[in-house]
Amino acid sequence: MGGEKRYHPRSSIPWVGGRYRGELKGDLPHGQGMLILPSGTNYEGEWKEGKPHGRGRISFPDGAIYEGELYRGKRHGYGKYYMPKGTVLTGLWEKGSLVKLLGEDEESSPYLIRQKKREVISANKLTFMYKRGNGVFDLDFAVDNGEVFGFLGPNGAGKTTTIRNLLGFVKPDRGGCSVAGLDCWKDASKIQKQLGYLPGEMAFFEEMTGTQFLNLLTAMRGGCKKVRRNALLERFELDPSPKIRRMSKGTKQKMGLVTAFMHDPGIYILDEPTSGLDPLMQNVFVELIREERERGKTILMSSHNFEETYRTCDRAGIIREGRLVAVQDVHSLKSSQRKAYLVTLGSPSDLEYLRAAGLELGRVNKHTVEVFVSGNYDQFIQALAECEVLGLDVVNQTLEQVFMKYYGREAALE
Amino acid sequence: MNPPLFKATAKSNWAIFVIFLAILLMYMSIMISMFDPDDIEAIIEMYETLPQGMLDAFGFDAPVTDMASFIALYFYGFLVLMFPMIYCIILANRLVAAHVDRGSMAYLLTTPNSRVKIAFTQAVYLVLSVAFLLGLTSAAGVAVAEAMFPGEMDIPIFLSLNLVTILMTIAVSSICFFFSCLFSEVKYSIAFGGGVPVFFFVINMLRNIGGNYDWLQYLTIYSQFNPHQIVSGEEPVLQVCLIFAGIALVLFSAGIAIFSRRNLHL
Repeated sequence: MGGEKRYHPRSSIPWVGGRYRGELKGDLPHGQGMLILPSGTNYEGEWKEGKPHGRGRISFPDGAIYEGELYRGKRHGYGKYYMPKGTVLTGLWEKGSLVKLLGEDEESSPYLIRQKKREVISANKLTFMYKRGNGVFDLDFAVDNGEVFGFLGPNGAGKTTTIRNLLGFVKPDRGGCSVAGLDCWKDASKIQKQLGYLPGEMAFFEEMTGTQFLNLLTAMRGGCKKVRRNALLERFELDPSPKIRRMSKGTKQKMGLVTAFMHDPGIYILDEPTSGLDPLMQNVFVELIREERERGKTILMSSHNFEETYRTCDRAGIIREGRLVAVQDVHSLKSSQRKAYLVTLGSPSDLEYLRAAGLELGRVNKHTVEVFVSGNYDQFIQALAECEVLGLDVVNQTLEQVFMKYYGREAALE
Repeated sequence: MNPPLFKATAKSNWAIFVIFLAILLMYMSIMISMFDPDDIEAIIEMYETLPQGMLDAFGFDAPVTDMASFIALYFYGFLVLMFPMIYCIILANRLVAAHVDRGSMAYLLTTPNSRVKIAFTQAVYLVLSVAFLLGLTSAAGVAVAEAMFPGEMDIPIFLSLNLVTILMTIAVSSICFFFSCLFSEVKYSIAFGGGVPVFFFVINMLRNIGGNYDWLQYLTIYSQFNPHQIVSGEEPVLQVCLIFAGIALVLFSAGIAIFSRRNLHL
């Protein structure tokens, strides 16, 4: 259900990242805001028909106190109460219900609650092969609720193929995948209710204007809020009135983003979302992703751009030739142990020596050579000892270089 | 059935509809205006100046006695097979295969509508537009005939001829639709969705020539359509209608079923 359960049931107040700030004051209409009373709770106050009902004070076993009105739900069993309009309440929330009440002093309150981890998007031994023998093989990964997952790999590695499986466009040969607990192949149309998808290729109804296209998708989805759509259009500085055929690649990309985000779904699957966007718009996009993440959305985005992944994602899966070669925290990916050193050598024969020593070499200039070291420092230093070293510098590594570890030397030399 | 999609489909395909409607209306009016109740012989003589083989191929071989048989012979024998067939080929291809080939199907499938629903909506549009195309043409035929030669046309016969024509064209459209659902690339969808009806059409022309080609009638659905027999009352109209409706039902269902189960590389 995406980040949906972080929202209070039947209310539109976001519980940002599982965290509730401020007061529940006047925002909730009467009848909303279910309160579950744990055993050991003490109640003093008004009663009706042998049950707490009306104004009262509840002392919770952990010392938290609630003062205010309480109305017992008509069709609920004992222990479930509704809080009326005007209730002041601070507390810990999980799955939309209050699990622990806290004092109003924010300092002393461990506000952040640990949401139970749920796998929102998952692949289980997912295998899909094309006739030519390429495809994806035995993919295993999971994206938890509230997480932004980057799917990294060069063109043709299988990113789009994976996404086709997730969207239910193709049927896995073996294994399977699910979104929000629903099977991607069997329940594809049900999944769409809570999914925003950006295709890798922008192919629209060319003869329509942008507005007509957005209206069509809105209508086919059974309607959605105009406010959000307009805010997105404004944000991306997009004028949807011209014919789509006349739009530039970047404009079409913006159109795609608006269609993916406009119905405010809980889960996003975005295939190379920033391709075609200028740097300014890329920033707008990154900002949007951050906001959606704050609102508890689950996001999977494919990319071959490391900078973008680093800026937006929590974790990244690296795919190579249809196989997932690593799934890592983006920060640890960045600070991966692999380092590059720029060595200035005295003679060309030294270069040959380093090569023969089995070291992983990067770019080679006339006298300088880039050497990648991941743990094998001893080998590196012993090899250097045999050479005439004129200079040694640490190269500030980009994610790209870290990434190349998974792609081998050939790719790194390109 | 998804009404917003139906509306969008109608909007992006109305131009083709109008073009084909105009062509059919034009031919229909010309044919009717050529009819001269006092001088049927002259028309027949005119056609007899054409080579016999060509007349046979077009199916212009039955005796003409009144207006309905005249139109049945010269309009429904050839033109009404050909133009709606081309319309079906173009439209069916645009309805499914073109969306898959272009990739715009991806957007339709990102709405909470199942593939069955989307394909069904497109099929409904195809069937309705064919029915409207030929329905309007026949209505115009009645109107023109009544205006120019009041009382000359046997309207019930003419309408039953049109009913059979509509069902036959829907059956042809189901062939085109089936291949449109089956292939991801427009070139294959056109090759088969267009190739099969055109093959049937050519076979039908060969069959009309007669002689050794009689066995060919088992290969084409057009052989079920005999306008002149319908007019002369020799054809079991209900049975023929059921055959065409049955073909359409089977092929539309098969097309939708295949589309909902196959891999789409969007």
